[in-house]
Amino acid sequence: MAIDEADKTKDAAGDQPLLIVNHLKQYFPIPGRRVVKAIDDISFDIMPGETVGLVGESGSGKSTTGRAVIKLDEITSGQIVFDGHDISGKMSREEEGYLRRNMSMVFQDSGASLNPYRKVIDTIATGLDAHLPNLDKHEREQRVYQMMDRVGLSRSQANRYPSQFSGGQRQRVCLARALIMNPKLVIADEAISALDVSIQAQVVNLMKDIQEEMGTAYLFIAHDLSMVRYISSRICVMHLGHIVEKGRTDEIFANPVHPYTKSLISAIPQFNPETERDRVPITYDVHKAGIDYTKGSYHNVSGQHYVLATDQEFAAWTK
Amino acid sequence: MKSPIASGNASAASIEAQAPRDHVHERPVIKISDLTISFKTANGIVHAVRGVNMDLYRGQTVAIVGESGSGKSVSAKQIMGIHSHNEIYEGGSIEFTYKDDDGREKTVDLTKIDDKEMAALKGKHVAMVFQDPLTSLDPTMTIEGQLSESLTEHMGLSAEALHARCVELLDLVGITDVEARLKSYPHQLSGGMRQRVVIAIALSCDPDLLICDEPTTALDVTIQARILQLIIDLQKKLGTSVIFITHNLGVVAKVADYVNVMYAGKVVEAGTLKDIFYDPRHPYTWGLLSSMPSLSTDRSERLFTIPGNPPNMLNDIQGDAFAPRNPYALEIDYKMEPPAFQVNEHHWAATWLLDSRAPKVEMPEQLRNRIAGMKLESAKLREGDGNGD
Repeated sequence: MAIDEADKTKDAAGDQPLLIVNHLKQYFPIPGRRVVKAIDDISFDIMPGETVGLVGESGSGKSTTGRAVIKLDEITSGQIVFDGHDISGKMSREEEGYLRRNMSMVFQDSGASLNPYRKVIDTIATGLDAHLPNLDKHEREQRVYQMMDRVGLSRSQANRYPSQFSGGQRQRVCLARALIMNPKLVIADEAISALDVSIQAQVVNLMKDIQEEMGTAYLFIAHDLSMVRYISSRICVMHLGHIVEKGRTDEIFANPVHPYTKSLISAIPQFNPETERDRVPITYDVHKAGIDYTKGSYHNVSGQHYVLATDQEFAAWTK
Repeated sequence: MKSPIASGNASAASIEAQAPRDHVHERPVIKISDLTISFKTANGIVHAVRGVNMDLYRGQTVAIVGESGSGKSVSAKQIMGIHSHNEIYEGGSIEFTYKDDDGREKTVDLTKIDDKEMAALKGKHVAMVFQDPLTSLDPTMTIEGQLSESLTEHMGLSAEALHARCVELLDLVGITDVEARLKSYPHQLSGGMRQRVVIAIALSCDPDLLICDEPTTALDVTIQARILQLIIDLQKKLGTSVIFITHNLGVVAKVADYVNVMYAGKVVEAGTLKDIFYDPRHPYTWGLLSSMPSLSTDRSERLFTIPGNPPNMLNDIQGDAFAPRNPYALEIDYKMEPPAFQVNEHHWAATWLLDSRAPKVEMPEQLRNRIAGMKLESAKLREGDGNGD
């Protein structure tokens, strides 16, 4: 069966993308008005064990992209191929089961995404209960304990409720729940944004460690570019439903081409008080700049680095 | 009144100017002494603020940095007279100095005055900007209505003058198409625009003190940059004193003159911006500075983390609250609370490491390298400025 083969050839399939998103569109109709084009024709891919960062301001469509990829919403058009399975249309029971086992999600607000009346042991075991209902009690417990060890929670906390945990610990519970089935892809939608700085660093280090151990790929959705830069090997910059620039992290940061990317990078407050005080960030207004994203096409800057532009714009920006 | 940040554009000059002036003859706008606040909860007494000391001088910006639960917002809300029903005032004072209607300097203790006196100060002499502009604005009221509220309350302007002042205020915070905006409702504005309106309302009566509680945390980075610039520009123009609460050290580097680092209900280190960023002494400050990735952090390097979690404020804390998370903790840290050790006249830290009997401990190498890098960067910038002149 294709699914088993894919499992075995995980290492050999290093050059086959784990996730391919092709010309994805997600429109939402508004009663009595036009449709909102939350995602308007985006394409990207994620390799096995890789972290791809998706950045952009609120309303850019980055969370919608995450939701579309894991099939929380029915997509308008386009194609999503996950591990060789086309999941964009209606899925068979088997395909759906495969998707749910191998792709999971972590949300921003750990308080809202955990059931307050469920002990964390049962929350973390959600995946086991759904996919391996015949697991005996001891085995189930052991697998949860192992996962808790891995995300840095102590076993003695297994029978507590979410309210008895701090924000950072709750996010670890969410991560444990997402990782219990050993998925190939985890979508982290602003998973660390609500945490304190020192806790953010703990969770990011943990995510990196787990990736090294288990080969999990991440779609890391965030607006904090300095953290995205740290964790991602490739970045897609989204604005108004379009990916305006994509490429390897070092390519994007060394040579941002699109004015929106430039404004995003320059808006990050820097650490150095002496240089920060008088630094004036670049501002960008799509209407004032007269840029129509639908007219642009992808131009190659170098290597894997692409920017959405018309020929004239591209010439002007790379001059 | 010459504002310390108004002098010169060269970054070096503006940093030098932040070193506190001779404060002997000047009363601080805010002087918080030994402020102690607790909360009664179902689980027991939460000791949220455990003796906070802080000064703020006219025209300066003081940043309060710390994790959630460190007591930074609770302290600031005391200044505004915002109390919750289960709050217990345990002691301490907040002396606020302002100019009354006759232009005379007046000092009051904000913990001692009644609601009526507080109401007279609120909006007129102290104003506050909160994190979420949507919850601080009234959805059923036009922008003009909300702008006018505090002006009518405190200034007694004629209808014409009131409208003119509203126009002026929106202009001040950089909103275009003012007349149309005055007639809009909050939901018709974007997040950044709403926060501008909130700032305009806060500034409407020209307050002596502006408290900003995470004003940009809910905003996108690009909008955040613009709002921060706005606050800086307005402060230069109006000479307002600002208390800026944030957990983002990049934001601190941008706006602050003076920094207070809070941990577990106490200020553990305070100093000028330069003191804290170039010469931090408290291990918690080291941890905070190290754990945020900068744009020059090596991506293969592990992010520095502060081990463990913040203490449970329900428990009585013995000794230094940071000790269990402090890799450099000494035996005494678990027994006795460290006093404030003076590093120089405007920089102190509460850690036993600064005691003369303590073993000599250097800050982590990763942070030392980062600071060296920052200094190099600044030197380069200054050199560049020199060549340009």
